[in-house]
Amino acid sequence: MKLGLSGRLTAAAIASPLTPLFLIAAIAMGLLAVATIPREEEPQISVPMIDIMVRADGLKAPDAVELVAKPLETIVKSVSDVEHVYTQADDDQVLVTARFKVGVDPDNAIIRIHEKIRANFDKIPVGIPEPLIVARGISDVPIVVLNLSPRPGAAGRWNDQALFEIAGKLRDEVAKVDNVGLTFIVGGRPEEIRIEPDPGRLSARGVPLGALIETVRQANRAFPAGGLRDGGKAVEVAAGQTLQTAQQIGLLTVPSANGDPVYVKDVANVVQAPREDQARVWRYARANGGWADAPAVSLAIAKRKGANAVLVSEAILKKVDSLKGALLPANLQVSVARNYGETANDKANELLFHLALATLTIVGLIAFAIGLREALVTAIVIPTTILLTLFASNLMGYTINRVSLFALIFSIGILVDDAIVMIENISRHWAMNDGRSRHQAAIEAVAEVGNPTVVATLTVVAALLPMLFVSGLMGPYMAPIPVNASAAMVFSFFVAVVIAPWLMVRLARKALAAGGGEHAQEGPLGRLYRRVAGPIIATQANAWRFLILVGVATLAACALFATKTVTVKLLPFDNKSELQVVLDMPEGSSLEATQRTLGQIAEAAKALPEVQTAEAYAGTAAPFNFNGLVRHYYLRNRPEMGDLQIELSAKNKRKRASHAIALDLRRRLAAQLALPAGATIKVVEAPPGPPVLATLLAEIYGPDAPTRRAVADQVKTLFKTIPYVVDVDDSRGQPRPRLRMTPVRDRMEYFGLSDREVFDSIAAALGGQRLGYSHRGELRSPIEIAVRLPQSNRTWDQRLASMPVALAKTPQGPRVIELGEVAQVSREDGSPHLFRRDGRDVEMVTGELAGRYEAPIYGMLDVDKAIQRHDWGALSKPVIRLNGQPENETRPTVLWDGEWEITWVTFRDMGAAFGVAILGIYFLVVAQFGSFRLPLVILTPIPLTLVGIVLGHVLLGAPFTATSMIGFIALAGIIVRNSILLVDFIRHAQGAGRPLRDVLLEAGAIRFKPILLTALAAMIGAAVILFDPIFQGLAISLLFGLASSTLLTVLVIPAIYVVLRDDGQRLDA
Amino acid sequence: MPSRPHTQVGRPPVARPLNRVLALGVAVLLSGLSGCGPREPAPQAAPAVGERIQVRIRIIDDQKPVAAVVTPRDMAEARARIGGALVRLNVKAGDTVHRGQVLAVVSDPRIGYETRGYEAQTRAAEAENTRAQSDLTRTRDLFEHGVYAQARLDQVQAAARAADAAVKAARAQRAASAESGAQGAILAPSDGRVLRADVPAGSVVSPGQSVATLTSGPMVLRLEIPEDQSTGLRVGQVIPLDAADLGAATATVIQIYPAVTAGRVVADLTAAGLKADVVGRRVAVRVAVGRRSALLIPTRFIITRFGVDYVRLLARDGQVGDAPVQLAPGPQAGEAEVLSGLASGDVLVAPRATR
Repeated sequence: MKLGLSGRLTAAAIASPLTPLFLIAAIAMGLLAVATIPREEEPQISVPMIDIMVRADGLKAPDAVELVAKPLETIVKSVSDVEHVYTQADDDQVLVTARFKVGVDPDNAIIRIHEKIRANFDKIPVGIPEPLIVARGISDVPIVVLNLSPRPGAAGRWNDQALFEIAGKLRDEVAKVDNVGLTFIVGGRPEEIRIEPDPGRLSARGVPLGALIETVRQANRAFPAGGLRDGGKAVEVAAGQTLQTAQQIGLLTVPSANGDPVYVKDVANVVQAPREDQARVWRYARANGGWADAPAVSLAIAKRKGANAVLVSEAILKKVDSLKGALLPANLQVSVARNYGETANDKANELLFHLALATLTIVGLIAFAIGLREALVTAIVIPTTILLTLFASNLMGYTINRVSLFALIFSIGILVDDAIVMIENISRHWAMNDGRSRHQAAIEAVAEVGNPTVVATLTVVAALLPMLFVSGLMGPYMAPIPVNASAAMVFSFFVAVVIAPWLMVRLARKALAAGGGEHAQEGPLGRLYRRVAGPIIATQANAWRFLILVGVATLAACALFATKTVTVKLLPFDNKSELQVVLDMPEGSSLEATQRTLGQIAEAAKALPEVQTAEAYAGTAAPFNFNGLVRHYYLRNRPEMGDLQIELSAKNKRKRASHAIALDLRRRLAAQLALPAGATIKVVEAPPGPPVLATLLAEIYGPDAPTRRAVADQVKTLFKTIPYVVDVDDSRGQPRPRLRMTPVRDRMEYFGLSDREVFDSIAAALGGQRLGYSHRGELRSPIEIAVRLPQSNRTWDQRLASMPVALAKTPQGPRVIELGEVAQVSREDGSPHLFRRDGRDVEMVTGELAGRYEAPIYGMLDVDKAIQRHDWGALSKPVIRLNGQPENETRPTVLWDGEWEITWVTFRDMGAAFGVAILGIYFLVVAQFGSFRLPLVILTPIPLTLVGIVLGHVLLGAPFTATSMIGFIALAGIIVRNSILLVDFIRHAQGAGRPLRDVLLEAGAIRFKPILLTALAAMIGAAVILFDPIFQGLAISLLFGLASSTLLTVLVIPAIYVVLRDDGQRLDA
Repeated sequence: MPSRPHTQVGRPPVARPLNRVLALGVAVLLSGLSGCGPREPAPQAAPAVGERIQVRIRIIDDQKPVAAVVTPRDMAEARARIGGALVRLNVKAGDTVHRGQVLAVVSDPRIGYETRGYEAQTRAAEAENTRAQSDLTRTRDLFEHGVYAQARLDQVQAAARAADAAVKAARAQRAASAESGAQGAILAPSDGRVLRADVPAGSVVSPGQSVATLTSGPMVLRLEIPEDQSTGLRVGQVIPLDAADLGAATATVIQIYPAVTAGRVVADLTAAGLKADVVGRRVAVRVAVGRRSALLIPTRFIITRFGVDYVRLLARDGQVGDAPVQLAPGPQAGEAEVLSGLASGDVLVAPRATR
């Protein structure tokens, strides 16, 4: 008998003393990998996004685009690997974001941008300062977020300033932990010594604001002044001493117009108080059956790139624990709002648990179906393969995160196949009891199924590898699957041919004496098979009928997609423990209005039983996650912006998944909340896949801004007509109200004032002026000294208009000139936000999908229909594009982007790659069987998996997702393996000139058991993840797809044989 | 500002215990006084009970803080009439004086010397006169006896008259000199208070120099205001004061000076009980120079927690919730202006009324 590759490997290993060493080494390496492989929540997807912020003082948004944005875009676009350039222009500022291709090294990216901009510094327009270049990457996403807030009982003793102080110290402590990356504090207010100028008193005393500022600034100076000789020594001279207290500052004298000495306290209130930041963080927590609210400060801690999130977060929490009672008083509560270390660990442990569960079940299955010893062999072989896979994963630089976990879970089902096939066949050969030695029988058994197994293994690899070629953001999400699963397949083959036979022989040695042979060749399963398959292949007509029936069933199943009985979705939502509600009040809303609306949102959230705590961030943003990173949530710092971060109870303590809670919350908000006109809220869930700006994103291009805006407004109304499109918003927003202060030229000339004096005073009065620090000594943070108007004075009335801005010389002597005398105030609207993508002006309309359909395709189809039906009046009906920016901008165009873009790219790449994969499989099979037609027979069952897959999704009411698709692709590999083994047996048996039907039934009866076993093993692997929200699609695909296709394969292939190569001989029996 | 329909509480009132209705009536009255529209009570099911108001935008005076100076309407200077040394200063700053009272004495020693010189001259003239008279007597006697000719008598008579005139002249000169020494007394020009009397005794003063400044006439508050904001100023206008210790809460404009100096208009205000002892004191006054809209609420509706001001807001479902507000001092005590956080039409519930 020809041994082939597998047979030779088995022959070499079956008696080799190296085999046990190899086994031990494999296990040891695997265990090492389990211990050391970094675990983290988010995949470390490198999508460098470089933000270039340019201040363009005094420029309106359209001017800023022309003067700053367009030249900058050109510069940025010239950098290699820049995929997209987004521009966001507002009055006085421009933000250009360069998005690099996925996988570009972030350090490399920022250096390239820096270099390019530096090389073009000479082109910066007059008056535009140097751009600020900021890169935020995935490693900056905080892995731990700690919330500091007073315990309910101690509410009165804390304010956000004290919390901020402690948070600052806590940050210093946490920074001592190894591998801690960027940390930042959200919320809280630092203490400051604030000199609040009183316009009335300044005016009365004849003190211009500038004199006040200058007095304090100079009084607070301290600097080394040089050296002197003193007592024969050289001493350094220090000049000045910084101011210590508010009282001290209050007693400084300020020169006044008429020369009277005036104390600072006569013209200003000097207070030591928290800075009046326009941002607030508030925490709502359950307490004594009710809800308590208190100020909070969030400390967000990221880890360094490549560090193990589990270890870092554990170390951070240990550090925090050790500080309790010392830095952290008992009445201060430190709650962990985010712990990616823990969640990552939970997920990894869940994976290991699933692996163990699946292994045990499969072992049980083998024990039941083949025998106890074979089960024991399986129990050793499966973990070895998994451990080796983990080792390989670690070696290839993959971490365990929610994406690579998917790959490993996915592998469970398929990596046991080779071993089962080998063990079953060895066991079957031994049972023949035909006088061969155990060794010989085992080697021959392996050799018999060896070649088809090699081909089958390669087939699975070939089916999976296309996923490696998905480009765009989805690429890194897909990559671990082909890599890890392929590695698992390859390892499983070697383990199956090297270790499994060796173990079989070792364990079966005792059994030799007992004697085998009682096993019937085919067993009860084989008999069952004969009974079912017999009638089908009895006549060619029967076979035809059966094949047509199966074909129709497959088509019928696929039709369920068209009828929307099975909905599609890119990726389902994970069951997270957090939700976010992002609030955008109309531009110009005050912090209080934002906080008030957030409070109302919190009220709605509190009614949900699963909600444990919630933090309201008004005027600032919650520590960002990967989604927030892509959506630039960390730049949200205007008073009208806010978000509510909701923490849910632990997964095992609630019945509903986070997505269901999000839907409920959204429904409640829609019913209860009366938002001010122009305000929008979005219920944001962490997307399981790549984050996008919005799930449903229509980009509107057109010849000019009015057309674009008109079309955008129409499209926005159309979005709102579709019931399952929610959170509709646009990129333009409301015009931001402004107050413009213009100097009155003739007055200024009359008084002999310069613009500079007036503008400096306006800037100092309204913008505030930081004068320096009051030093406090060791371990105490220096306190900033600043001249600032208190919030309670910040309204344009006669009081503020009395602010003296300058001294004028008059014939009657010097006198102060008030702001109201020389400045004219007018109210105006700011420009709308301007967006540009890749050099084209664009208006965006965004929406999310919730409820009936959750994939953008449905929303798009319905919006497209609505666009067609809509009466566009004077506007021309926009052209709808599915991808690529329009070449012709003279016609209004709606381009679908967002999740659709990713879906499109993913399926385009995957489809093309899958085609190549099928071709590859075809080549493999041609190489194996030396026939061109036979591979077609083998490939036929692939579509048959769809019957089960679709029905499975219908049964469980689950959407068909990318994970389902991956399951489908993987099934192609698995099914082809069964087909190959079956066809291989048929061909071997055919050689003897036996009647075809006899051969078919015998091959089917013999192969039915291992096919069923491998299918069951894979199904068991799938079943353990059936209730995982993300992997459900995969589980359904594998479970139902395998069930249907396995059963159909063993019937369809004989039927095809009968149809194609009927030899006309009836069955004997 | 857009009104929000959901904050309108338009439910019909339901029966309540009498005392509660009464309390509510008082509350309504109070809120009516504070200028906000009273609202009807919510149904019994609502947890919020007690005083409530609906906030409304009101048009209030836009008040400009201006410093007024307490000053007498006129000022009198006690000046030295002669140059010389200030030998005595009888008053100090703050003293009340009456018209004609000697405030200080200036003396010039040179006048004494001069007077004495004139005295001597007088005496010399008198001696000469005596001699001339006796000469005349003798000459007349001799003439009568025919010793001397008529011509001789006439000559002696003229000499005697000249000597007599010389005596009168010398006396007059002496008297004038003495009178000039008496001009050193500085008298109070009017009733009033001494504002300044800061020339130390012994110092030399020149004629016309001021030795003391006295108030004159009633006390006024004088303010200067940029010319374009002065248009709102009227004689008789009542202006609130920010000085509690002055004993007056308001002042009335009594005069607006027509001249604009250095871009400013000067106006005088009078207030009851302005005392002269605070002359020169700056008093903050708030002059209404226009009108603006504002949201005002009584301060009793404000709760402060963790350093943040809140008001208790009635939601449309009858529940109360806290809303943060940014406040500024209101135009009157007990009132606060809401800069942001509330909209016109919101209904507030007094904090004590709930829990």
